[in-house]
Amino acid sequence: MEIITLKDVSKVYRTKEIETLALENVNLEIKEGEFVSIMGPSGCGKSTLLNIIGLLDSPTTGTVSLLNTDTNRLGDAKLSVFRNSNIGFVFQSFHLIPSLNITDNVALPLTYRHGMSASEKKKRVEEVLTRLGLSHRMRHYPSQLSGGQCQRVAIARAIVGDPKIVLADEPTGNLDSKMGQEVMDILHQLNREDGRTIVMVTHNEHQARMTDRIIRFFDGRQVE
Amino acid sequence: MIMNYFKQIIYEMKHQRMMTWVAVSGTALSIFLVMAFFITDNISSVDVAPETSRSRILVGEGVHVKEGEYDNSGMSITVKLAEDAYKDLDGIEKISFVGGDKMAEQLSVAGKEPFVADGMRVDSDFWKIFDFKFIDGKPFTDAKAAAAERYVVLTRSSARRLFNEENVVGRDIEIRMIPYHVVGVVEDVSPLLDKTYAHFYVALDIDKYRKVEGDDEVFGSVKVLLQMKEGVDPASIKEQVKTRYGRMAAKMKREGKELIYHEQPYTVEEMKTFFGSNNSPDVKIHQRTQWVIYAILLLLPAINLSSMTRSRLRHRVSEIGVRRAFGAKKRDIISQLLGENLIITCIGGIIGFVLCLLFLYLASHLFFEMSEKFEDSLEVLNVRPDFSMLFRWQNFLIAFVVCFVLNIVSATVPAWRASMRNPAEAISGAH
Repeated sequence: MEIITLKDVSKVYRTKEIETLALENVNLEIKEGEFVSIMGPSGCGKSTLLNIIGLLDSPTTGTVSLLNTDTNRLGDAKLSVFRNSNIGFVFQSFHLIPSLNITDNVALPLTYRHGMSASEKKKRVEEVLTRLGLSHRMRHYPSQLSGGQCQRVAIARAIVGDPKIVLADEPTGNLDSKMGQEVMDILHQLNREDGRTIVMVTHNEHQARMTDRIIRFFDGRQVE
Repeated sequence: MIMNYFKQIIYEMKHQRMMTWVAVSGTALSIFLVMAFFITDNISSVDVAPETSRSRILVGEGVHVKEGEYDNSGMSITVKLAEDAYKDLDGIEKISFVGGDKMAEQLSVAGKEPFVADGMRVDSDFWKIFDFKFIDGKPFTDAKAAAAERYVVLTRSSARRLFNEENVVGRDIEIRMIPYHVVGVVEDVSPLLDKTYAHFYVALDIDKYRKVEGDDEVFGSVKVLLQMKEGVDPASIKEQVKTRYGRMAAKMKREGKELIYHEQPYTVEEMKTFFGSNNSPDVKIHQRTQWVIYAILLLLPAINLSSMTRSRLRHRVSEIGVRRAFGAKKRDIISQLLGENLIITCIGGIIGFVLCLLFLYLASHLFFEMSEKFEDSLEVLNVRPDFSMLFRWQNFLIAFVVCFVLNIVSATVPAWRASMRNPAEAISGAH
């Protein structure tokens, strides 16, 4: 069953002077529980595609359907709720909030979720941190952690709301190979054990080969 | 959530010290300055003993006469003119005649160095209008007899200065070498209370004044203090006085003189304005000026906070994008930023409040230094303006709430703009 469906998606960035075609007629189907890698040279539209799948940006033309919902029809507030419930993000530069400790960073998606008690949220955060081996770092701040630990916190934040889809934009790009491998292991574990659908942008051929499918892009077009 | 707002502000105070502290101190300074203006403005209108009914007090004083090229004005009037203009008005509870000017006279007792002190000539009704606290003795009830007997009421400090004690009723002093008999000692009066402040009070015999003043004169030696009945509109008193002055003016016009009374008697609000004896007070201009000052003082931190919020947000663009990615709605972002600014306003408010208390201490000391000395001595009177006289919680709350509202309004624009950013661009940190 398809969990992500893109039909004829194009994205054009316009400024006063120039018009840049970032994506051109992309048609894509990703099944539930699939681990997909997106590869391609810099500037080929990988991150734009991930932003469009993650509902952080809208396509200029075409439709994006996630979990059988035509997201083009959703307004901004509903898109926020949809992201909160169904999508988790992992970024290359972690994007943890420096003023918040690890617990509060991980709890971030739950702060915007209604109908969940504070004790439930706390329990959920503790479970996720324990699962990712960060229970001893709960009161620490991002500046006190290593890059690998930061990315684990970011993954904890991505899954704390139990989303069906996890989007990872070069999750190992800022890590050394050992830490990168640890992060990849966690992502595979989330895919295998939880059945989460993972879409990962990467430049690393080796890591990409370990996923179920590789989608290659060149100049905004899907070439494979 | 609210705890996170605090964490964010604490973090910013550590990591964006300059901007956060400028925002906080701008708000603090604004609240402090508004309070300072409130305080100095309130000094002349709040009810403080012995002037406990200031809102009901009206003052009739000098007039202005034009005769050809001559233009005369004075702050005191004759007893006859005062009676013609102000006696037996409807709505007036009590009327008191007092000397037009404060006296600066030498006080002395045998065996002590004389010193100069401020004095007032007052009639017996003066003690009924104002709420003096008598430490010893009582006020004189018959001013004519009191003047003849040369009775004097001293303040606590002048009694101490003269006799080294306060219970001095029945003892004699000399005022400008003339013997006086002490009949009462009152609590010291703050020099900020211009209708009652003095170091000693002697009786005013208006009959004696009336005799020496010519019937056709207008410039004399007294002024009039009127206490309105509860609920009476000063306008109704002014209307009656206008009619009376109108008659007098018509009579003087026949003599080729123009009598201008400048819409007296003056209310406390009118007395606050500085207008002189040949001008009418303009309360509206005074109030308008004050509102302009308040507006500037409150708008400045709002503009400051607005630009500080914009600057702070530049460092938090990607954070806003991340929050949006994880489900924050636009209104969540706006609430978060406004919540943080609320905390900044509160911190600024607390600092402003502390500055205000500091100012009160220093300001009262300053008034004290300037006005409360006996003229020939550095010794100071035991008079300090009361805290409640200078500070009013409602004024602080008004300043704080207005500042808070303006700060919130000013922060709303950058907060709204931040919330409108495309999350993808925001995460990438594009400014």
